[in-house]
Amino acid sequence: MKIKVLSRNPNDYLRETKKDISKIQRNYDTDLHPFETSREYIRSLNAVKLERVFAKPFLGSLEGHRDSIQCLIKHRTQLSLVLSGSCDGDIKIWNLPKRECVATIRAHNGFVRGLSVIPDGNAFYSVGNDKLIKRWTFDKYDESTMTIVGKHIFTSIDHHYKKSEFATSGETVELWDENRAQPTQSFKWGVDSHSSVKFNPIETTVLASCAADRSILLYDTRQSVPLRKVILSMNSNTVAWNPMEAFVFTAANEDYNLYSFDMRNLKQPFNIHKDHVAAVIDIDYSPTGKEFVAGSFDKTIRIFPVDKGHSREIYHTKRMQHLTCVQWSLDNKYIISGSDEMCLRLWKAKASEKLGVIRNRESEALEYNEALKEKFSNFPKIKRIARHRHLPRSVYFAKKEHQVIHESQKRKEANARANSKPGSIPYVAERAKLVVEELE
Amino acid sequence: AETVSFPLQQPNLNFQTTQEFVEKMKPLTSLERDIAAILHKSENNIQENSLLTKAEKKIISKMDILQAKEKLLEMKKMRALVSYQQSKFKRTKKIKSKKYRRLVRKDRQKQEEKELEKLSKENPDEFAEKMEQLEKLRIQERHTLRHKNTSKWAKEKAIYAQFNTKAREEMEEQLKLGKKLRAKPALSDDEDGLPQQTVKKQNNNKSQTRQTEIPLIIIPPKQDENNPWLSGTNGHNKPRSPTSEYSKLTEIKNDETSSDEEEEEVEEEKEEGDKDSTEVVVAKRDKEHKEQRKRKDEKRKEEEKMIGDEKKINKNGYGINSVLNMELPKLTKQEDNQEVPNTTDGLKRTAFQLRQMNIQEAFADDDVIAAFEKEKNEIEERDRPKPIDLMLPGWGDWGGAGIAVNTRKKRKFLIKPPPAQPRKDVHLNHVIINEKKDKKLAQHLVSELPYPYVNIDQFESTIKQPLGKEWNPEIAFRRLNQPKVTTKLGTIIEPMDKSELFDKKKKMNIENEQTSTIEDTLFDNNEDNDKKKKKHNKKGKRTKKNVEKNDTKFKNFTSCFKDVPFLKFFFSHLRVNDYERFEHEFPYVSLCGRERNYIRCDDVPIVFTNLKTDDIFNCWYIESDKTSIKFEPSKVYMKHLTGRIYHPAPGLTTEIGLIKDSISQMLSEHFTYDSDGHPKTITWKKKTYILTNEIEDKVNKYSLFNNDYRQTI
Repeated sequence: MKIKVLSRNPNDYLRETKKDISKIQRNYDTDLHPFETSREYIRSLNAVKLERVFAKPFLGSLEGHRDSIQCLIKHRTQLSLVLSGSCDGDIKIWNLPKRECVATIRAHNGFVRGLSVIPDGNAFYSVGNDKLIKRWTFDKYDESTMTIVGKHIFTSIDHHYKKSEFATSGETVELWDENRAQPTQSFKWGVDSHSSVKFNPIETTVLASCAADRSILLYDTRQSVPLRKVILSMNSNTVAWNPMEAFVFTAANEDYNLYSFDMRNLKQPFNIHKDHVAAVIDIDYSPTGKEFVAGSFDKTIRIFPVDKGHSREIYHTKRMQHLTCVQWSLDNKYIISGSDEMCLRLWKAKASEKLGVIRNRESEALEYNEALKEKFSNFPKIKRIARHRHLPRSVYFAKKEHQVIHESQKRKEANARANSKPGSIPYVAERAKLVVEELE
Repeated sequence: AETVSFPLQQPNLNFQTTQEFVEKMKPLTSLERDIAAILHKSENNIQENSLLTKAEKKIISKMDILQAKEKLLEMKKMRALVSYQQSKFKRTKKIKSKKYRRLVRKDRQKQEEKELEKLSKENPDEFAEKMEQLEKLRIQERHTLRHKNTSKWAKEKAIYAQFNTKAREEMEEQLKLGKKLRAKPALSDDEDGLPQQTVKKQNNNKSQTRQTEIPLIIIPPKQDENNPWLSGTNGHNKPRSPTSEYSKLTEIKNDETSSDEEEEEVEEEKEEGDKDSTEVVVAKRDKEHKEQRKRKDEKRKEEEKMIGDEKKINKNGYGINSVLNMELPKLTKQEDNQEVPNTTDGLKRTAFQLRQMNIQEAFADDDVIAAFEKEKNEIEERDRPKPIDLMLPGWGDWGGAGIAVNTRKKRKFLIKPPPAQPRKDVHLNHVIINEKKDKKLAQHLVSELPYPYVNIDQFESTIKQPLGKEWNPEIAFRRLNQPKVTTKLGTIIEPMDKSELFDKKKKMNIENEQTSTIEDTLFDNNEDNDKKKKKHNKKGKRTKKNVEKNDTKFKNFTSCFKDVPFLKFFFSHLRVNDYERFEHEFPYVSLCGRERNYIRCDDVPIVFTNLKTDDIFNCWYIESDKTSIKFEPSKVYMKHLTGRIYHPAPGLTTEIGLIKDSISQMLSEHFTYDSDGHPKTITWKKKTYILTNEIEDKVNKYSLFNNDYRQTI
């Protein structure tokens, strides 16, 4: 006779050593796991609350400059190095993980206007109000290895991504060869001042500059004259190229907005990014090309997704003054900002991200939470918590004020439309209003 | 991919070859080095690029040449044979086909039988042994009856055998095997018959047991079809036998025969069990039906009397009869008063009534309007503000059972609510407006359909899809929760590399060009069956890759490219297609026995792909008298419109051939041109030849480039 007995072999469920993977028996029967949607809803609610709880983006400040910071640049090959130039002519080289100043260079008389690291990362250039371009190497900070005396004050400098060329802006946009003391080319299109110049990281021969006549100019180094000129309704402070899409650049404008342009169609921007309540001073793209960071005169930093009209994040502290420069680190993790009150600040790019090593299980859980947040992002409770940010008082009221202004403008236009001949006041899209003129 | 992982320029993750892996291993310690030195010294090591080891070579070198050759051949043959055999075994081992296995088994059995026969003649001792073994098997089989239909497998098959011929066959086979095993070695006729009978009997038994098996659930197993006591009864007065849960259940059901339907169900189940009893039950049911019908008839008549006008019923559809019953009384009350109820001739109506009745029965449950009204009433009742009773029995009074409640007090403590506002759906008969919105729940609900979704179902379905581990297997869980962007810690993400992007594009373009310039297609048109195997054939070594890319189905065709005899044959049998078949699609054909290989090309089917240093043109790297042609610079012709260069190909049907692009480019540098841009002379190996352009006519005749042919395709 066969007797059936409940028997369990310990080998089936016990680990031999502590480090063995323990077996988890699971049953996918839906009856055992009821209410999946409501349970996940609660989980997502918890996840989004936790995200806000853990949102501590400020990592630290780098102090040492004796005047407000004018320019900031990240090293092209080393993640740990950042260079900053201040209004008293000092350049400081910072080690980010140690959060200390590696070197201080008395570089210029007056402002240091621009910095740029060469592609192989062994040297960098600086320009200043003293009409000098100086080349420095990273192994010797005492003296510049080369000095070029320019004809006018330079406002910015940017190095070519591949070749040994660099461009400066000032009264004109000039193209320099590293081995020559004279510019190889000089672009001029009827303006007397350019505020910044930037090379395209992908289509490396193309560069863009912002001019004082409210225009953005595009150049090709292979041509002797500028390619295009777009005149906007207000001045742009700087532009940034998308490092993943060759034809996309975003301009930081004085009218509090950022405008993303497609180089191939400059008649109107393809996206307007609103949220700042004062002039946007600097902008930098994330190396993934999915987001960018903008620093503004309203003492806040905002992070915008490329395809969204509003920011996903705002960073501010009580002590941080007007932003002058922002940079997004090349590993997509950190944001560095420089402001008027002589401090560099280091932020996380994702406010609630955990730094340091994340084990497999933890990362799995984080990914799950992230997916849940995404899934339920349209639910009002979750949306409210995810969107909620504390704003500085000034920003909060300025925002309200701008809303009122915007509404009243809209109302005025609607009234005018209502009281005039039908069709005489056409509807104009917001994007179409921006560009005053496009010149070739 | 759903995820983009940065940095985009990933390191090369190609697999290591064994060679690469082996080269990495280097002896480190002195001992290892010593051993390695000894091992490497050995002459029996297999060497690269040679079939023989040193030792083998030594042996061969000592033999004289002929012997050595023979030996070598023998060795080669042996190796080949071994490998063939191995691969064959491997292949056959992998065959899963049951049919094949059966055939193999049968073959083996036949072989064994033959051997047995042989043994009986040659070696009686061994034969006797074998027979003994067989006898043992027989005993075993008779004892265990392993190949009868008692095994688990057989029982399972028996269930399917009714419907599935395959299962039946398998079972029969099994039985046959059993029979064979049980049969005495010396077969006699009467014995042969026996097992079949037993099988039949068993089958009968089986069917009986199966019949009794099912009723076990519904009727207590004591019931027997022969039991006269049970035949006349129905569910009500069955002897109770509380054996199983199921039987209890049915009894309960039987007891509460409130409606016809329920009874019917139970009885239907019973029908399977015993037919005798069901007949009676059916009879009884019929009776009941009749009674009910009578009752309903009466009812109907009454109604009709009330309605009076029967035609009205006629007009309205049958399906909503019950609905009509609800409403008509109200509608026709006035008519009642005016018109005298007239009873028309019954004969005609009975048939109609019967039908009406049946339909009514069928739709007895579908009382939609009544159900709706009931629901609405319930909701109204629920939402109506209720008076609050604050009375506490026993306070200021005598309490306990049997004491009458003071009505005055009751009235005093009953707080009446203020009269409710009239409902919004008071005047809307077909509408229920929910006035109690769940505000707490509404906080959590999405009020507008979010952007990418087109309809609510879509959105809801995505929300319903759970992401967690409890509901998804591990891999699905990971895939569902993949982040959209992943980065590597501490790694610089370089900007997009332009050269990589554009180079890829360029490569693609070049490949496309190549495929479009020269394209030959063969049709393998067998006359036996008109199946067409399409083959893509390209000329030139460079396009080999494209063949695989273009049409991966015909991978093995590329082996033909390397097959020089095939190509020789193919090109020497090339001719213009004048078979009145596929003439326009395929202007050329190459014959091979009964097979016709139809060819399509962009220009000319012959392309010279190789110019050797001794001025010999090769078509397809084949060196044969027909496809290798002496290069004659003076006979070269350049077509002015296309810039393509042709060369005569004597002996081939087309008489001319196209020169490969790269060669013609090289040649064009040697041309001198006249004022019109036509090439005049060619300087080849420091000699200048005047171009004769003698093949111009032929080029115009055969070249398909820029001809109408292109447009027709």
